[in-house]
Amino acid sequence: MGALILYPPDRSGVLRVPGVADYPARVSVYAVAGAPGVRVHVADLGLACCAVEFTAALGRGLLVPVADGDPGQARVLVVSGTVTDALAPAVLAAWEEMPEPKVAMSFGACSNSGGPYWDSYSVTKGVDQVLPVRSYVPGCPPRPEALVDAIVQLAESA
Amino acid sequence: MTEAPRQARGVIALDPVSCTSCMICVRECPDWCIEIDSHTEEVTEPGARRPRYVAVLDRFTIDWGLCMYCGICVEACPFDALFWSPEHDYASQDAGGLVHETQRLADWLPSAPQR
Amino acid sequence: MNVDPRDWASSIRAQVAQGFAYLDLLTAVDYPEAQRIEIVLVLLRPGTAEISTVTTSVDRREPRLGSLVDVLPGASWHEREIAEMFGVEFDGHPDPRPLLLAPGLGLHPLRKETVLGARAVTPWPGARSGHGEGASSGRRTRRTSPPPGVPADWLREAES
Repeated sequence: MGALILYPPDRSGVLRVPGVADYPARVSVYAVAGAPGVRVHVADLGLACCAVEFTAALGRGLLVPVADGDPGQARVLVVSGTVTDALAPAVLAAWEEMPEPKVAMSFGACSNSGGPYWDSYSVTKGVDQVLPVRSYVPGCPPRPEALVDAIVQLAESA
Repeated sequence: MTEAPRQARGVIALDPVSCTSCMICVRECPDWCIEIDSHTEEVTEPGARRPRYVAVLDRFTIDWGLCMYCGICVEACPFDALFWSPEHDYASQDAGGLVHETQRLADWLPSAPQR
Repeated sequence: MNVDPRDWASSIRAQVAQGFAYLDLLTAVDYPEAQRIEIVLVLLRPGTAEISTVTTSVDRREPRLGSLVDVLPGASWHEREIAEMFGVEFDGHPDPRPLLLAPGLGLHPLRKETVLGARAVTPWPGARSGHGEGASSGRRTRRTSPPPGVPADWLREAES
């Protein structure tokens, strides 16, 4: 299908959905404030409201960009928002283009299970229908603190 | 690990003692994420003309993967058995881990400011 | 104001010429009992609070209407959405591809007869009486029905 993600050197990513749009997917390396030693290479697939909470984590300094990011570290794809059946192939393509080691995190009720829209004709009932999720963060939306706690939990279990 | 404000809607705690299995929260939940199993037991008291029937809660579960944290269940409960808590560190490695059973829901109670 | 579908594009052109040049809303409503689908267009006069609402109706069994894309280029995506949600065909639309729905869905979701199947086939936790097991005789059983909007007999109707 050919959704394209561009990784470093500029460390910003673009998810290109053919014929539809260019989705900016931030790919950056962050430290977690208050959890020394945790460095996470995070790509946020901001699909809906949950993306705002991800951005809030950046804005409030819970995730701090670091200059010495090691591209060899695990990449976490944070699926933030509702996955629709129409967009699901692009989400999968984005995941498949990520180099290993990689981990998928489902952030919020919609990507966990379809959330409030589980009964919809157009919503995928959880991004885990499409790709292997290793962390499910509950919330609608989850607080930025919940994102950070879940990232630390992932780092500690790795 | 992290702190949230006292009034934050992080999780919903259950007071099983107050719950009468009336099923109102189950029916009001827009997402259908609450399940209750219960049964009735007959209670005979000496000297009473008829036996009484009490509802016994067997199982109360909430699926946090579906929950949209609207709070309708908390408001609708006539017996004040559900409370908001700011706790939010309960992400799970699998979807099943987001379904909390009775005891786990009761374990949140100490963190609920309004219990 | 309501216009005949044959005068749709010309009426809108006239509205635009009168200054209602801003496309605010273009949607449709399904009236199955009247066998029609109503198309609703709301235009604004920029710089003012004036609104012009224009409606027309198409036959539900063969819903076709002229496209407004020549008059209001912004109508393109709205018409694509109406087409996939209601099944209305817009003659002359330059790009009649589905907009939001996955291919192969096989239904027009905003038509009134479309059922939210997921709710109908999922057992409603609220349907459990809660006190069924071990209930002594003599206790009045409470009849619970599915929540409003969920058709109770949908599957059985579909199978017949």
